[in-house]
Amino acid sequence: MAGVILDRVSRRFDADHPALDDVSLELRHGELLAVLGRSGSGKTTLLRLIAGFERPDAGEIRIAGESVAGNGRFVPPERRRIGMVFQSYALWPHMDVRRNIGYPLEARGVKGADYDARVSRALEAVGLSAFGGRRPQALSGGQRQRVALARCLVMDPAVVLLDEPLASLDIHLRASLSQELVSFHASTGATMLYVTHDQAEALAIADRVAVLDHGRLLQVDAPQALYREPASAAVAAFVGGGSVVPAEVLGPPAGGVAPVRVLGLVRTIRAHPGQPTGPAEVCLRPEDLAIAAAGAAGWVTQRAYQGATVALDLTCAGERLRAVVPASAATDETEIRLDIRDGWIIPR
Amino acid sequence: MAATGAKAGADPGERIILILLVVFTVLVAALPVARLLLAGLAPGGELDLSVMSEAWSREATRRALWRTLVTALGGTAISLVLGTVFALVVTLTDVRAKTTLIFGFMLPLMIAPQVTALAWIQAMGPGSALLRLIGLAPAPGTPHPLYGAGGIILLLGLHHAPLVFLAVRAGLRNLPRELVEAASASGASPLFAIRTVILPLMGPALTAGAGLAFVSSIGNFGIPAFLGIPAGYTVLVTLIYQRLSGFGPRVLPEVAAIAIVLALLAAIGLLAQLRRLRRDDARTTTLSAAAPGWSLGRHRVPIEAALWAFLGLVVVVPLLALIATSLVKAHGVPLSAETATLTHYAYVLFEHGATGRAFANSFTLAGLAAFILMAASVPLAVLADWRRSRVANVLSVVAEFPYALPGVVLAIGVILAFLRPLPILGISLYNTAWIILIAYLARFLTLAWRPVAAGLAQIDRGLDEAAQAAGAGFAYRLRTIAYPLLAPAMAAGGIIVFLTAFNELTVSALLWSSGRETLGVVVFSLEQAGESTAAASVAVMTVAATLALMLIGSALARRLPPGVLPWRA
Repeated sequence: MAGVILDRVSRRFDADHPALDDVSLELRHGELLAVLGRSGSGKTTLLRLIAGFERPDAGEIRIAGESVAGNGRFVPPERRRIGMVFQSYALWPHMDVRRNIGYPLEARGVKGADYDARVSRALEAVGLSAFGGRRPQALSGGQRQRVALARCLVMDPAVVLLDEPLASLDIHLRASLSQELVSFHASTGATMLYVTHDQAEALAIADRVAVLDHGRLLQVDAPQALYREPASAAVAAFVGGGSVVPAEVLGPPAGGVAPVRVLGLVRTIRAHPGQPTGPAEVCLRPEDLAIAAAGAAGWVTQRAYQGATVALDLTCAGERLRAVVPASAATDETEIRLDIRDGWIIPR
Repeated sequence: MAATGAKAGADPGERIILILLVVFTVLVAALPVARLLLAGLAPGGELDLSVMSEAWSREATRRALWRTLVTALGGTAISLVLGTVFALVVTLTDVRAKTTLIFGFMLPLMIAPQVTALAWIQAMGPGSALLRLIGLAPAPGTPHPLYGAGGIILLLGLHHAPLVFLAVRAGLRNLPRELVEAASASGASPLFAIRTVILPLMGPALTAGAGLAFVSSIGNFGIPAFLGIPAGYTVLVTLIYQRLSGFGPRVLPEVAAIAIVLALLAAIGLLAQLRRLRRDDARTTTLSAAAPGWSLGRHRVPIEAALWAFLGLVVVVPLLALIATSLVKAHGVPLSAETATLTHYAYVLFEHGATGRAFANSFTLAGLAAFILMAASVPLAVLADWRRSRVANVLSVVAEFPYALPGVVLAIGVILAFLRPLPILGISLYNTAWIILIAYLARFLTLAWRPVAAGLAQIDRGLDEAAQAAGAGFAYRLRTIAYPLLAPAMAAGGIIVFLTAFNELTVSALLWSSGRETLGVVVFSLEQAGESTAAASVAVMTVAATLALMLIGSALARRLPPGVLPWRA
């Protein structure tokens, strides 16, 4: 069963620049989907459309099989069975933790033993049973996130929407909280949509990642596929810091690879089954390049020591490239020889 | 985004509350102003300037206009100098006890103008108990030195100096620190930096403060009523009062024509404020004291002494005179242990029926107004800000007018709108207490709204959206989220409304009827009847109530957004 379906949804705040342009997306039941985009890409608008804080100008949105927006229908947020985790967590400072968590039940008129039992279960699920009487201000950042999650969980929502919940945290807290999110997702099986601008975060926690740019959906795929097989030059450049260079496909693909001329070298690299021969673009990840005894001539313009590895900014055959090589293989020379270990022919 | 954002998720409760607010604002704020314009400019339904030209052909009207301008401009000049100097010293230097100094300087604004006038009359007149105590009273029989233009100008200036102070202080706090530091680094002494950098940059704040002081001066009733009427020195506001109380509703078209010109004068002052409003709306205001904090060194003690002496002279001495007058056996007798008595308090509280009623009336009216406006301001602010409702935004602007216009202008508009019997009910509100309440609701809505709007701007809108996502409808969210979170700001607004309404005279002077006196009206009537000692007793009690409320507000201050309580600026 589908969790959320967006069918050709558009949202325009002004005529020339649609915030969201003809986006179709399916959020499967029980999956954690990350929506990845830069600021202004429309990712927050997408989330607010699903929540019901915005109305689509075109298209339809369905949650758990029910149409909530489009075709003249509009279900307000308070009747959508969504859970939402805000960047600020939006915990009400005038209520204690129990009442914060129980609020969705309270708003639906749930009272008495049922209310108590469900709030206690939600508190337990996030390991905060001892903190029910505290005010949110008296909690740590991690505990606040868990309260916000418990508040979503308590009413068994069709989907949990998370709006960059880690963006305002320092780097150490961010790592531990993203792990908590993953285990929360694993233990509850909740359908979750996670909006972020941080690609490392998206790749690390999501089942699938949707890449959004200028209001258009570029690609939706599992993290590995997104990284290894970007669907377009834009995705290749945005996710994983790949270099995109012109190339020529020399023959039809076979067994997932095809012969190609790139940077003046002829190599066999991964390709889409239907890849035609002729001019194409190739995505080269930093670790796909290696320093070799023979290969294309390159010039190092910048060198950054990273401990086990060294990051090199290079120019080679008129292209700017970035390579990450083992520190042991790095040299101090400016003029080097480059070889290609792996790559992906961007399908067209 | 604005319009559709509000529609997204609008539930029936939200729509009903918005409609109620529209009806409320139109009825109490827009309707009276519209009726006033109609009565003065188009009494028969079409544009007809005959009433206008007849009213203004009178010598008395034109003389009153001239006197209004003279006193208002003179008063504004005094306010401008006092308010600016005080703001510069308190904000930019290291004088001590700033909170107390500001409280003292703001006090004249919070005390009713008629009480201020009464206090000064007692302090400076031939019958002054205080001056007699030290043997400096003017000779009996000589005219009171404050009656006439000079006294009015002086008291208007003192009464409205806090308005300039607030504007300049806000401006100074927003002044980027680097601009002043650059001047100091360039070798400018503090005084030179003030003259060449700070004051020129304070242009908009000075204009706004002066505009506000001017508008308040032309609309002030208490001061020209107490100091002008006995000397036959009539300004527009007192002229309207005299004609309306002398001839009744039949002169309404004429006074409407006068009031429209008064409103036009106010508009000029308001235009000056607009520059400030636009700057304030950016919400980027840094309220951290960015001021340089100049050390006064060996000048600190003399400057502090001067500030305290000034406050003693213009705030403490008149109040002491007022208290002295309320305590002496008979007006004109020097105050001593033998002549001191509390009989006047007993008289006004228990024997003089009108005063007891007036206490009850003013408490009830001010309390009701504060309560209703507190309740209304939260949904209005939530709709305008969190829900991005354009209608609510327009309402919050409409609500500014009845406060910005001189009180008599609004009072005449309210009479015109509610003189005739109400449709369906068939009863007229004229000559009832309700008409005063309506005028208070119209006039003070914006006072209740401003602190709430300031408080709301500090609260994450996500708190409301989270409740919405959690399944709560609009009315439910108001009750469980907005009202509890905004309670302190709402209380601040309520205190300000209560204080202002409790001390109010301008509106009720035109709207009161026998049995529905307010405290302001009673002080005025007692003084006019020559019962100065009784008037002083009532005035002292209102000052005590005012001070108590201000202190309660100060106790709340830590839970409030900065700047919502004027006396904690």
